This record gives sequence, structure tokens and C-alpha cells, in this order.
Amino acid sequence: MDSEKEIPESTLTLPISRIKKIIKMDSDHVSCSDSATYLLGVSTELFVKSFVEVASGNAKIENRKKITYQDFSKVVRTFDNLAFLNDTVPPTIKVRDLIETETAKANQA
Amino acid sequence: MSEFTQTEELSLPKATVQKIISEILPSEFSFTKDARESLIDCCVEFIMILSSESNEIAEKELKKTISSDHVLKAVEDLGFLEYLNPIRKLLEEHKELTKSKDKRNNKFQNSGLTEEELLKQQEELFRASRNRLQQNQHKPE
Repeated sequence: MDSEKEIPESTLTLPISRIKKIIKMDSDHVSCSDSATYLLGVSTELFVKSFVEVASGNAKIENRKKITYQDFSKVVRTFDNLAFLNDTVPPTIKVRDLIETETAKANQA
Repeated sequence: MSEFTQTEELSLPKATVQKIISEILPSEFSFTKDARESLIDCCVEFIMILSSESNEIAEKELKKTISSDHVLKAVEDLGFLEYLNPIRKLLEEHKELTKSKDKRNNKFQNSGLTEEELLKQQEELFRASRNRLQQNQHKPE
């Protein structure tokens, strides 16, 4: 390895400090190596990119340039490995439907 | 601390997430406000589930520290197989980068000696210079 080779900047955009804070939230957590933290960071960046890419595909199909909450929600329901996001991005319900459902429930009671 | 407060505090900088997105998304696309917010929430969830899975894998191996291997296994177990090759490559580059940085900044690490060996060397150097000093003092005129 040529020691005079220009050293490239870190390939992680997400702030390491913030990643560490989120990791520490886990009560079972003890410690995490630097390279493990780095891997968590780059994996998350990959996740963002692929998540957004698929969601933008949904918008494109409908000839939209604005990506909406529903686009993300659809992606979550399409892929099995995104099931962990079911509660984070729940499907939206039309207010009308909600009122109907709640009214029906109330009438039954 | 209520769970709600914790979620509020734990977020990722909007500008940083935007930077990542702009690397793959054509500029003509934009987000609604709630889409952008939920994207950040999803990122945080992702970090949490990945770190928690990695932690479990480490615990199964009776290790107290999550290593990069644990994270790689977690990525696989969570079904994100397509990430494995790119992140392995990035990890290799990162390791090279940290190695060269260390080489540049720390010549002692570069000597390939352990701290013990370095201390021994230091002692010997002191001893040698002390001897030289004593010899000079006792030099016959």
C-alpha cells in the first residue's frame, strides 16, 4: 500500500455520535466496536437509499414528483423484511371510513 | 423519561438524510412534510432493530461487545441480503482507511511493537544514556 496515497474521507454521512445514542437505547446493550458502529451506519444509509428508491417508483407510476407518506406505507407492506416498520408507518385510513367504523362499533355496544 | 420524549430526542439530522437521498434520487423528486418525517423515523427504527439483533447475536456467542461480524450476521438474519456485499466492501475500505490513518499519526504503533516492548526499549534507552552520563563523569582527565 502506497503510504503517500491520498486518504479518502470517511464514507459515512450519518453522524456516528447519533448512531451511538440510538444503539445505547437498548437496555440489553453493553458495547459496540467502532467497525460495528460504522457497519450499522452504512447499512442504514443503504436502507434509506433503497427505501426511497422504491417509494419514488410508486410516485412515478402515478406520474407524481412528490413522494408521500402513503408511498412509504405501501413499500412497507410490499416487503416482508420491512414488517418491523408496520407500526412506524401504519396505513392511513380515510376519515370517512374511520367515522363509519367507529359509529358501527358504538351502535353495537 | 417518557417514551415519547425519548423518541423526540432520538432523531437524525434532516440535512444529513437529505444528503444521502440526493445521492440516488433525481432532483425532480421531493417529499411531503410527513413523508420526510416518517422516513427519519424509519431510519431510527432500522438502527434500533439492527443493533438489537446484532446485540442478541453477540450475546449468543457470550460476547459483551458487538463486532462487525455480529452486525453482518444481523443484516443477513433480518433479510437484507442485498446489503451484504456492498457493506462488506465498505468495511474493508474503512479498515484500510483506519490503518493508514494510524500509520500516519502514530509511529509507535507502526513499529509493530507492543506497549510492553516499547516500555522495555524506553528503559534500555534511559539506562544507556545514564551509563553514558556516568562514564563521562568518571572520565579521567
